[in-house]
Amino acid sequence: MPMTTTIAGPEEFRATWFPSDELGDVRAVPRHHSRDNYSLGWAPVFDDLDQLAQECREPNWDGYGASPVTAAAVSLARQFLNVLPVESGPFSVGAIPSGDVTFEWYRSPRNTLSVIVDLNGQIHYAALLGASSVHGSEFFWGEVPPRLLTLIHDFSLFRAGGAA
Amino acid sequence: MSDPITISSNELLARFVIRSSWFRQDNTVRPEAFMPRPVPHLDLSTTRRNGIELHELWEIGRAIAANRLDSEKRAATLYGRADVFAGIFSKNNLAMTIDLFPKNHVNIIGWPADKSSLMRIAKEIAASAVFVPIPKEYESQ
Repeated sequence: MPMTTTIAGPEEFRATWFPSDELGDVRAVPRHHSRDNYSLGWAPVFDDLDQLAQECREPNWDGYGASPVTAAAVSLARQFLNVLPVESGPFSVGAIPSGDVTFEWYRSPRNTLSVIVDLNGQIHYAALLGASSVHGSEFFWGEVPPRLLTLIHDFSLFRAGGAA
Repeated sequence: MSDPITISSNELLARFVIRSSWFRQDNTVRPEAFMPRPVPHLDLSTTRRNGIELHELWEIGRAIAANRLDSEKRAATLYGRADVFAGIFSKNNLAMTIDLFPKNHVNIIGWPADKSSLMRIAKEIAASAVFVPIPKEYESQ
C-alpha cells in the first residue's frame, strides 16, 4: 500500500517533522547546503532548467494542452536546486502539464523518485521502491523537507557509492 | 464527457511522445509522459491500438506533434509512442472514455486532485510502458 503524507500548515509541519526522536535521523543526512550550487558543478542542471523554461514557456508545449512553465515556476525550481545538498546528483529536470517543474532521480523503472515544485509553495514527491511506493506533499520553507531529503539521499550518487 | 467504457485489460493503448525528455537514454518512459493535463478537467489522452492500421496510428501521432508549435512556430518532433496495457489504468482506479475524434481516441479520467498521488500513478504507468521509437518510414510522410 502506498504511504501518503500531507502536511496542513507550519505548526503541524514542525510538530510532525521535528519530534525529538527523529532529529538524530535527520541530522545523519549530509546537508552541505549551498546558496550557489551552480558554481559547485551543477551548471548542466541549471542549463537544463533554462532550456526547459525556453521550450515550455508557451501554452500547449506538450501538444496535449499543457499550461506554460512560467518564470515564477522556474525561479522556484531554481530556489529548490540551490538548497539541495551538493551530493544529491545525478538527477534530471522535467515539466508537467500543470506548468510545474519536476526533478527525477532514477535507477530503474521501479526504483525512482520524482519531485514536483508547485507554484503554490508545496513540494510534492513520489517514489517507487521496488514493489512498494511512497508519496507526499509538504510546504517548501526554503529547505528540503527532512523526509524528502532522506529519500534523495537514498537515491543519490553519494549513497550509491559512486554508481550512477 | 461521455460515459466510462470497459476496455479489455490486455488491450494496448498508445501515448504519443513528442518531447525528448519523456523517455530516457535506456528507452524507458518517464512519468511526465503520463501526467494528465489539468484543464478543463484532469485527463490523459491516449489512442486505442485495436482496429487501426499502423500507418494510421503514426498519422495520429504526427497530427498531435503538428498541433504543438514551439516559440518559433515550428511543429514538434514525434519521437515515438509509449504503449501500455489498458489494465494499468483500471488497476490504479482510473476510468476510460472514448471520443469520436480523433479516431480511436481514449481519455483516461478519474485522476486524484493531489499532485503527489498523480505523480505516483504516473510513475506506476510509466514503469509498465514500452517506448516504441517512430520507424524511419513514418518520420515524415
